[in-house]
Amino acid sequence: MNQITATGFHRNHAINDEEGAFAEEYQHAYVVDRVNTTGTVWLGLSLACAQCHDHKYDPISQRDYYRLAAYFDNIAEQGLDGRYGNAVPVIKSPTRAQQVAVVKLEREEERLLAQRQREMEAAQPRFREWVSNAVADPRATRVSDEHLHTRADLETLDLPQDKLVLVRDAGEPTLVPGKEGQALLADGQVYFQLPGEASEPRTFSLWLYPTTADGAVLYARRTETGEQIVLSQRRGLFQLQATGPRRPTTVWQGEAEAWDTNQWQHVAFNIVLGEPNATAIWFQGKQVELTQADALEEEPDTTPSGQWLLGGPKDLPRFRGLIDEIRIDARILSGDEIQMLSGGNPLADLLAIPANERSAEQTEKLRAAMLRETSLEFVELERQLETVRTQQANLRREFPETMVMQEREGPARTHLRLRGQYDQLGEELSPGVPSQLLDALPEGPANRLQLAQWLVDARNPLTPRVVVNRMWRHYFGEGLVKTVDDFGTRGELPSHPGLLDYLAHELVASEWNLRHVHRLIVGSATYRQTSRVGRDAYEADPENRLLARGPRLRLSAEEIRDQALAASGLLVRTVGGVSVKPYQPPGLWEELSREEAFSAQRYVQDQGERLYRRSLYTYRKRSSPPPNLATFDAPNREVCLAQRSRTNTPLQALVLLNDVAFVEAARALADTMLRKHGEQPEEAIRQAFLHVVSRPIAEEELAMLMRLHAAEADRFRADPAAAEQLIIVGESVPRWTGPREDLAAMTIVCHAILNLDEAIVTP
Amino acid sequence: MHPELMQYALQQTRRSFLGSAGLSLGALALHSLSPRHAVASEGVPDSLPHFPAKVKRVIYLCQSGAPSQHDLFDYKPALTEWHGKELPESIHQGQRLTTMTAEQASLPLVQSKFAFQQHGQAGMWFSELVPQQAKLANRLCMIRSMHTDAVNHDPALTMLLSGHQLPGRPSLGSWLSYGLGSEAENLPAFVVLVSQGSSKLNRQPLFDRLWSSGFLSSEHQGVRFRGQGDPVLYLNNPPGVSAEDRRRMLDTVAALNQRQADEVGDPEIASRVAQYEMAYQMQMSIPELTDFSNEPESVFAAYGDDVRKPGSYAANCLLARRLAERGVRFIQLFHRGWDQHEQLPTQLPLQCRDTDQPSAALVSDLARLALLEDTLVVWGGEFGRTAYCQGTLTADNYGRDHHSRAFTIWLAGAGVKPGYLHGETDELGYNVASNPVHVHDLNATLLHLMGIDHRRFTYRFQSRDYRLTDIHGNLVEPILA
Repeated sequence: MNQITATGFHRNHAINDEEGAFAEEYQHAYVVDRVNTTGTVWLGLSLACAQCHDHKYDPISQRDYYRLAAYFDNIAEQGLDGRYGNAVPVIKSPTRAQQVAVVKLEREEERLLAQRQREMEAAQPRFREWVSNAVADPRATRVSDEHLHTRADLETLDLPQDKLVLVRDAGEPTLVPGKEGQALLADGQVYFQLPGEASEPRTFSLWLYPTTADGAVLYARRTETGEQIVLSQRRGLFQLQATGPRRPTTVWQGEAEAWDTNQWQHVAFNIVLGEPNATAIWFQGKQVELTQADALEEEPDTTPSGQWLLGGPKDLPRFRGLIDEIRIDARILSGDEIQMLSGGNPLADLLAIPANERSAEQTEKLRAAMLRETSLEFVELERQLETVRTQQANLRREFPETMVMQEREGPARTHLRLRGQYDQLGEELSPGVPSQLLDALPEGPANRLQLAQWLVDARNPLTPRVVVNRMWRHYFGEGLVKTVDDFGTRGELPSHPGLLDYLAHELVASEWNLRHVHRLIVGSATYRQTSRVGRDAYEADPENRLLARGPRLRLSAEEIRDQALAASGLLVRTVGGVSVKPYQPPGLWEELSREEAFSAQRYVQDQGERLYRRSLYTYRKRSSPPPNLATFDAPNREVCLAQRSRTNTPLQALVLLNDVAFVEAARALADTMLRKHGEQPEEAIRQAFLHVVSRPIAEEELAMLMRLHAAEADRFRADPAAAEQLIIVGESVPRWTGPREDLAAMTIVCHAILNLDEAIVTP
Repeated sequence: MHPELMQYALQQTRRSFLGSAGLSLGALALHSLSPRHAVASEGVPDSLPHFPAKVKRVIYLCQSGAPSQHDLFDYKPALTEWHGKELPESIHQGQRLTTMTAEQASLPLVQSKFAFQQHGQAGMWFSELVPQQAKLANRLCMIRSMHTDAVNHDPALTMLLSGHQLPGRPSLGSWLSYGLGSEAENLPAFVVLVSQGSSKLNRQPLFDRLWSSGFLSSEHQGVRFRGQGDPVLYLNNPPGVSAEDRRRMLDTVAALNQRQADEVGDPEIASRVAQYEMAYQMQMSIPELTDFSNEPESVFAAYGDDVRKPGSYAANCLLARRLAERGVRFIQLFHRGWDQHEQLPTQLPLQCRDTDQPSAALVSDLARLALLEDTLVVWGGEFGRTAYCQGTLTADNYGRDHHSRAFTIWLAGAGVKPGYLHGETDELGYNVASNPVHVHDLNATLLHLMGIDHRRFTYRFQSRDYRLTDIHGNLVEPILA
């Protein structure tokens, strides 16, 4: 599962879904992206040149290019996709805990099924007699009232007021002839209120005669804590929308066939509090298949709280037409039961079939019906089975979905594209590697596994060197081969070829243990040299190619933000999970977006812990990347880049000075320090400095920061309102209970520390 | 100069630059926004520009979504006769259509619903939707024979601005920032302004990549100025922090950094100090830049009422002029909403109401301030629209699909012939009939006007020397003044 999930790397190129575009053109672009990325990442080769013609400098022919492309050109993908999120092919990729839980439930289901089978077999001798009795005496099958909550046949308006309350804006409600006897006329002025809090599941069954095609709420519930679930219907489209105070709105949709106005139709659905994804809907006795749709990002209006049927107060649109035979059960009804309520009689249908014409499945159904009639244990067993299945279904629904590489049937093949044009097909090619680099193709089918094995063959001259070279660049700013993405003839020769070979050998010999190589580098005398070597040394070798000093590099965009969060104590160290949307100036997405219900068109900032996750988890929208990261050279991820720029700009200063993320981090750090060393600002400053810069502060430095602190303390004492404004920046709440001006002054000092050059470079 | 040498020169870091010492912090800060400038000051021979530039700065009024040339500039009387008749195969010639109309059973030609008139010495046609631009006929250099490769917005805009349909290459503004640096004090070389069109139908999205520096160093990325909130992201001090607080903190940070610089020796630290100082100066100066209150009433009247609405196209035009006055090299406006696949007769006038007056006012205003002498204004979209109707043609309704074979743009200002008409389309306005100008040709010409030979202006990335114009592009000499 992990390995399949990891193939998603090759699906995370940009995916287009522009109306009017050509699917084949983009599908080919995706394949090209995969080949070029593979070239950059593993081989350090500019394969891209060979997309249109033989490589001008390196021994890669156009044929080589498209044979590599063939490994990636057999994916069950669509050229245009992704408008509402992930693009096929996708899989459900459960977490480890989910995998364990689902196996447990599957075993339980197997056990119950086996038991059920045993009871069915044990009932065999009694079956023939029961059937003949049943045929002779076709009893009216009915749904058990054991957990009936309430029923309203609407012959009168005398409703059980503790369970079902008719609300009417004005005038008297009217009863007219309906499905059975009388029915309630719903003219847009009425709806039902359901008093009380129900924690057990509910199944609703009703007959509706819509007179307009307008949408209406079938069921809605809002709680004081901000939970909301709304089930609505518009023509044949059912939509379930669930929102929580700390989670985004989730939407499921399903289409029912043959919904019509001016006809009696049966609708049933169940609701489980807190489990919106357990909801099932039936139309005319047939279950409506629900699929998760794109989330609406509107803030729902969650006032007032309550539970309603067929409309509701304020913005909840009411049903118009006739309403009859409302039934509410305090349990989940089975499909057969719903079918009965909708006027069907599944059992009678089966009994009507002559015994020798019944299929095994039909016989099975009848036998189960017999046992349900005659054995309480059997009913209980089925209930347990149902519970286990529901739990399983719920769990599976929560499995994260992820895009993967998944081959189509048949052997991989592709065409050479003349001049790189997607629609100019040349000769047909099967997958293959550039054997001039390493002539050792592993046995077995020609697929991505074969390519992977070739890439990491110990004899492959490029892969280990390219990988360790990038690692070296990470620590020293430049690779041993400076052109980290080009080991071809136009690339630079290694500054220390022996060292490059040694590290590459270590990587292969340690069975591709990256940690081993990382340790080797950071433990080396070279890496541990000081970077305090004086101006002359920097002038003599600005890029440190001679490695005569330790590296001194600005941290990456992500590292800078993470460090501020970590130093301030705000960082949430949870691993994994859904991407998060931390602070971002408002309107950035919206200014560039389509105003349609596609995914990721509006930026709805997260709250609470999700503001303080590592930047690794920050949601990246390619067409509008997080600006505070982009300013520090985080690429926009349109194409694979092996080396980021490392710039030094005034806009970076503005981020560190004014982005709420960094101001809040400064406040949180000040807060922590004051709570620990409140009476001694000097000690607080010492510790804050140590925390961020990782070295003890020099006395001279301390004196400067003390002067700043004193000046700011005076200033905020004179203007407490300003202090108040500063210390409430961000969504976390300060815990320091001392004078606010002290916290404001210390915030400025901590903010100064976070803005030091030393704070954002490697030590 | 040999491209490799030039590349080397451009890659000289500020470390070596600082080595020459004796420079003020201000000069350092400027350097960060203008590498070219700094290199030039080091006396590298044969540096950019390749030859004297006629244009110092460009204001690019990008009409995103593709305005219909048929309803604005490219008048075709023959369409009156052809109105409602099928697009003849002799014209269409099996060319690729977008998937939106490729399957359409009938492709009836459609004559513009709007009245046209000729203006100026060259007899340029303008429709009644663009009366203010029409008045400028003698200043404009109009090209009616533009064409491009892509037929959809994403690849076509990417193509227009980066010379390639797929993402990953630097945009025009980034190339200029990289090659020529900035002349602006306290401002980036490449500024982007986005506005929303009044047409609500088919408002195409924009992408960060349209002002991305691609494989060039990310400091050449376009900086978005915004109509709401901070005019530049993160410009304003946090709540409760006064200018004095900020000054005090920056002084302390500078002193601490200086101490480090002395101890460590890394010139990056001095550069950081300079960046902070520059950031402070931006904080001080940008509010003045975006505050229009010192503009005379006549300016407000010229740009129209919308100019008082921050973030509108009109306001962005005026802001563009103010940025140009301060020396910003490349100012790129994007106005969204030109994608009239349907309901063109009601939607196109809304877009023109947004843009006609301010576009014209900007040109006149630049002329009034003598800025038009070294500023070039470019007005145009990523492609054109079809001569035939998308959807059902009725008496008062039609739409037009994307069309890459021909479209119209205009230029005004330095280096180009005023009141000049270049290129022609066929009698139905479908294909270019004479003097075709490909997007690469336009870009080659823009670079030329900035003093750059597009064939010699390269950047090596992954072993290839990339150009804005890829391996294409011919200078459009006839339009040069």
